[in-house]
Amino acid sequence: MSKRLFIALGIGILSLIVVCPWIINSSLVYSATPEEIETECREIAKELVCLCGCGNMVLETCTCGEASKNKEFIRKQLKAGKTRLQIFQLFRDKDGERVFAAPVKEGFNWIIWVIVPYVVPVLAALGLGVLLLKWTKQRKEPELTATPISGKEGDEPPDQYKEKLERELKELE
Amino acid sequence: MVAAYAAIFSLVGKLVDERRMVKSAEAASAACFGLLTLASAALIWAFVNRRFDVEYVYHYSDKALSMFYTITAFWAGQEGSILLWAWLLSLFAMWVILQNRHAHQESMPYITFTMMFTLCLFLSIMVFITPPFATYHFKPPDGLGLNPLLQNPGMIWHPPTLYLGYVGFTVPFAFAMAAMITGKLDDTWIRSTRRWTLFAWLFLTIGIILGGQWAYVELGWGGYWAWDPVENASFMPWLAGTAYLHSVMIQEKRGMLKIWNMVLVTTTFLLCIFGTFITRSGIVGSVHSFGESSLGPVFMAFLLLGIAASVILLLVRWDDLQSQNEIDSLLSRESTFLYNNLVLMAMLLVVFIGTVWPFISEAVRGQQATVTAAYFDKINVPIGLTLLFLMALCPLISWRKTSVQNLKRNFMVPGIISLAGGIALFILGIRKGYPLTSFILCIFVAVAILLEFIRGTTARHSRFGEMYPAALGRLIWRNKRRYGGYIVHIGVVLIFVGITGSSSYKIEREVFVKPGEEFQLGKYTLKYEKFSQYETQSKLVNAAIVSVYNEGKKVDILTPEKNLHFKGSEQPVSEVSIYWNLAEDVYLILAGFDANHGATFKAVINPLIVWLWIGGTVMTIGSIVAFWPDKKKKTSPI
Repeated sequence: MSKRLFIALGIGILSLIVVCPWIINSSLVYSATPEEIETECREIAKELVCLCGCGNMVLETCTCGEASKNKEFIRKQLKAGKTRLQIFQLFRDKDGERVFAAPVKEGFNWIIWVIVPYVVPVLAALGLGVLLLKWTKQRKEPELTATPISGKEGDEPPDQYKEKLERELKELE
Repeated sequence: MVAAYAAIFSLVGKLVDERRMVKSAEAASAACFGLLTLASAALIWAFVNRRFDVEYVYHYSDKALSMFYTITAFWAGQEGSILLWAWLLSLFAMWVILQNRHAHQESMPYITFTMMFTLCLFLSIMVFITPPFATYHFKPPDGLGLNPLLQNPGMIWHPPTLYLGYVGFTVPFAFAMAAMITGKLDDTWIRSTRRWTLFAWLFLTIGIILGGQWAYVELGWGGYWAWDPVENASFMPWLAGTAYLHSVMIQEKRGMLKIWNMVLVTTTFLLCIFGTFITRSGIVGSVHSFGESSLGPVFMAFLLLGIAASVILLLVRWDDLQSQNEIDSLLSRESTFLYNNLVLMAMLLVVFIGTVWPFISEAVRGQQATVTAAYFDKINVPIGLTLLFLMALCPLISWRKTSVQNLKRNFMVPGIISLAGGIALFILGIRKGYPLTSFILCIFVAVAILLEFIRGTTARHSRFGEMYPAALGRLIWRNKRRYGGYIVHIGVVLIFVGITGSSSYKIEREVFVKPGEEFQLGKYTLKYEKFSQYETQSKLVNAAIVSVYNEGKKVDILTPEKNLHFKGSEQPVSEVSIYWNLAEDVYLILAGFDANHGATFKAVINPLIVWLWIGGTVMTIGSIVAFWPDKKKKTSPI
């Protein structure tokens, strides 16, 4: 056997080793236990809305006939070996994006997933931080020449002053 | 007509400086209350006397309806609930006028104008769009009946308390508008409306909690809050109102955040109107909404007018609203209130965008979208925990400035106890990130607040020699606002405990069983004993009798029902049955049954859920304490 043929054979065997499990996996039907199917069905049903008009309830919680029919459909698809993503796609093809309990994380929907809950509050927090720093800096400046009468800065005032302060604050309220 | 007269005359009277016109407008406001009381009494009379020739009575009651629900049917539909809203607003307007008959002479005409103008909106809706007294030319023998979901004790308390909250926020808004118009921007208007704000916030809180409780026992899906648009509509003004209640203290104590407080009080009121718009326009599909109507454009127009007026006034008064003081330190109670405001606003923004996203998505992309708890839970849980963390921080930090040593000293005990509690919970099996964090923070907040009570009580005991219970009572009574606030925070902690337990450790099962068979739900064994079917005057009852066993011992008998009502609903209505204790609820729904009485049950264990309702009660008690007026000091004549 020539050296070249030996190398070609080796590559072929290696490719088969890599590709075979994938082929086997994709051609076999997913054989889950009924409990596993039920758990997976419940997880999928949490992500999908019942469109029967009972107020945007997810399939998992809705007890109407339409919800039961859809849950049965999910079980059937799971038994047939479909993955969660494939089942989602089936529902999307049938009812559009509104069938999902939350907007799909893609394109325009990033506004609701990232910009509103994270970017805006972080920017607001930064703005507040800058404002607070500016305020506190302004307050500190004239205090540079001041000498504290007694005690360290930030220490609790003596009891009689504390009581007086409490009393005055209470009166203010 | 009378409300329009009151609005116009109070404004014109002030502008031309004619005191008699203003007085006349105030008298007209009182007359509005009288007339609306008469109208409300007439509608109740029509219900009680089964006047089915009145369309509203025909649609929401029938002869078989108990007197109890016949009276509450007054606010079951669009027409009656708008009448209730208008009646409450006229009552508050009259109350405010009486309360301030010798005060705020400069502002009162504008306050009367704002309240009466708002009343005009509701009255014009009543007159032109949803008249509650529209009649048929004949008298139908019987009515259509009340929706069975509304035949629940929740119907008595939930809508009126919610409306007391919504309508109550009109008062601080009216004072804020008047302050901006007159330019009297010191904290007088805030002090005058402090109790009104607390009153509105208290009732909004009670309304929301009662609504959750009602949904839990009536809707039969095992939960209490689904982030439904109508639920969000009540939660949004609550968030803004809570932020306002905190930030307003900074203005009172330090003369700061005047612009921000104006923004918050305006936002709170406008969100109440926005909530009404969502609930009544029919633009959202919700089990709680009133269905489609033509009210949407009217509310939208009012909303836009309110926003425009507030923005213009704010811009005009911008310079006058600048703060007199500045924050001394990043680590002060003022700063934590600001952080708290930031977090509340972040949550408000998320809830608002989530609620209106379906319309935005359709308008921009032409693609319908749905936003449910799957989105809100994911985003709001970390925000809620941040809020809890700030609540833990707040009582430990003093006004103006806190030193690091001071902070360390105050953090030591709650820190150690909550850490020990966290380790104990971890050992006991609470290992998920969010629930564990939530429970640790709950322990921290509770300990920090309890220490405040212990310190104060001990101080009174040692100083005045009072017995501990008396010292505690006097401590709270002498500083109701502060300790009432702490009690409210303890209530919030209990609510967090309930939410964390019920959402993170819920156990659910859906099973089909025949009479005599058992099924397991967590540590409980449920035995389906038998099926029972009988007829009442208004419905055909289909009940399953289920025994609940805990470790072999029978603890309760549950009877979930699926009933067919002869009137009010074409769909069968589920009546859930609950066995509860302080640790968990066993929640049973009869989802379906067959001819052989085999039944499908949806069974849920909701851990710690009862603490949510207890927390709500504690919050209410705390708010009442904070709201309770101090005794007026006797002043000796000069």
